[in-house]
Amino acid sequence: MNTRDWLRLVASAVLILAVQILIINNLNLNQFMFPQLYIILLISLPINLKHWIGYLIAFALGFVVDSFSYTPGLQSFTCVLIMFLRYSYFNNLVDKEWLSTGIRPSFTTADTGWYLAYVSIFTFVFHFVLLLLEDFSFVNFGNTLLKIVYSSSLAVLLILLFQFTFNRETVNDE
Amino acid sequence: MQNLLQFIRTNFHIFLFLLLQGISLFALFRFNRYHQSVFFSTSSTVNGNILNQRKNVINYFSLKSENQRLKEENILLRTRGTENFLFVSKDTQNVFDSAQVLQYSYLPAKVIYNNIRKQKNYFTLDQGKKHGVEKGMGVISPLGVAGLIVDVSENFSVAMSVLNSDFILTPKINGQILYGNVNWNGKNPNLIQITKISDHYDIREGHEVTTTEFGHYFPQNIKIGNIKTATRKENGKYWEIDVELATDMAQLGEVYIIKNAFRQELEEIEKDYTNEH
Repeated sequence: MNTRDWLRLVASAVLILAVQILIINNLNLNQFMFPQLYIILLISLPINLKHWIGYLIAFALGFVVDSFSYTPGLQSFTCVLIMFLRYSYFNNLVDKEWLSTGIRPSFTTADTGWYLAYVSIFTFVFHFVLLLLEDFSFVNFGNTLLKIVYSSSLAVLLILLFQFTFNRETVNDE
Repeated sequence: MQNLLQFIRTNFHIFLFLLLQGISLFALFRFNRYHQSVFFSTSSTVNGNILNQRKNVINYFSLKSENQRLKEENILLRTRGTENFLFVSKDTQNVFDSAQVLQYSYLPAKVIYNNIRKQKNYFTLDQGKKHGVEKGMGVISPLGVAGLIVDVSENFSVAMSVLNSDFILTPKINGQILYGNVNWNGKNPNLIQITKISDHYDIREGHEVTTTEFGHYFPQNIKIGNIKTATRKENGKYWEIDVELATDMAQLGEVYIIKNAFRQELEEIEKDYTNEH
């Protein structure tokens, strides 16, 4: 990542966090839908980004969202965990050659089918951990599960929409 | 020693990961119960101001419906009024003179953060200690009961929403005080439940549910909602009641904080007796 990439990351982080905090968190669509759009920032970080940088970014993002929804630790825990799972996945299950290209996963840089699966799985896991941790009980597990399914489906849609809208020109970006 | 340093260096990211997770977990459990108020007092100036700015913009979009609600409320206020007064002398009524002391006064406030998704929901208001808000004051919307102040900072306050499984009220159903509990079960944000009402009372769908003065949070006859369904539990004995909330908690905007001028006096005198029961 060079300076230009960093600037772009900061700019998109500000934009996406603003959308998340000021619009989505205040929508109150119904009690089941609470999509976390901002994890698009986490899942589109370069695949060979240094681990410690990745963890710090994840923690910072979670911290910002937490501080605006008065849930200290909740989002940051989930973000750092997702970062850990993402590194485990890239280090063990993709070939080293592709890893060294350091691309940022998106429609234009990766196979569409792979990308869809990648986004869906990580988004689902994120919401699973987040909402389970938030409710922190199995009393209304059916309810929690519905929340997870609805929220993550909506989040996947939003993330794909965002990718389609803002990430078209970055074909030869690596 | 050399080896240890080397080990730490090569596994630095793992340690960082564990450290960050530790911090998060600590924050989560340390602040879980009071997380709102604790977090609030430390970051209230920055976040409160940003949320306030957001609210300033958002306000324009809801002006029309807010106006409508205010009109409805005005009509409501014209048709009542005396229940806000405590009659000091029993033989004078409806005359506004020194025989009556204003017991409940209303402080207008705006909701700057609101949530209906969790089982224990809270919302944040733009009035604080500076404006005379105190813990334990009731919060109503133009349409009905909304919550209860649980924490106050200099400029802001946090209220427990009626959509919070810790929120309990004694209801008045169809004008009659019944010793049940109004308490949300955490499922549908439009429906609140009433439990522990003995089944020999005559309860029908559509009956109006209002507040009582118990707890000294609200004046009596503030609307909570209308009964949507009332069924007898299978083993008899108790009613299972769903009440459709008068307040649309997802659209909470303008609210009033209720100040009970005699709250301290009432609590003082009741203090020795409430613990014995």
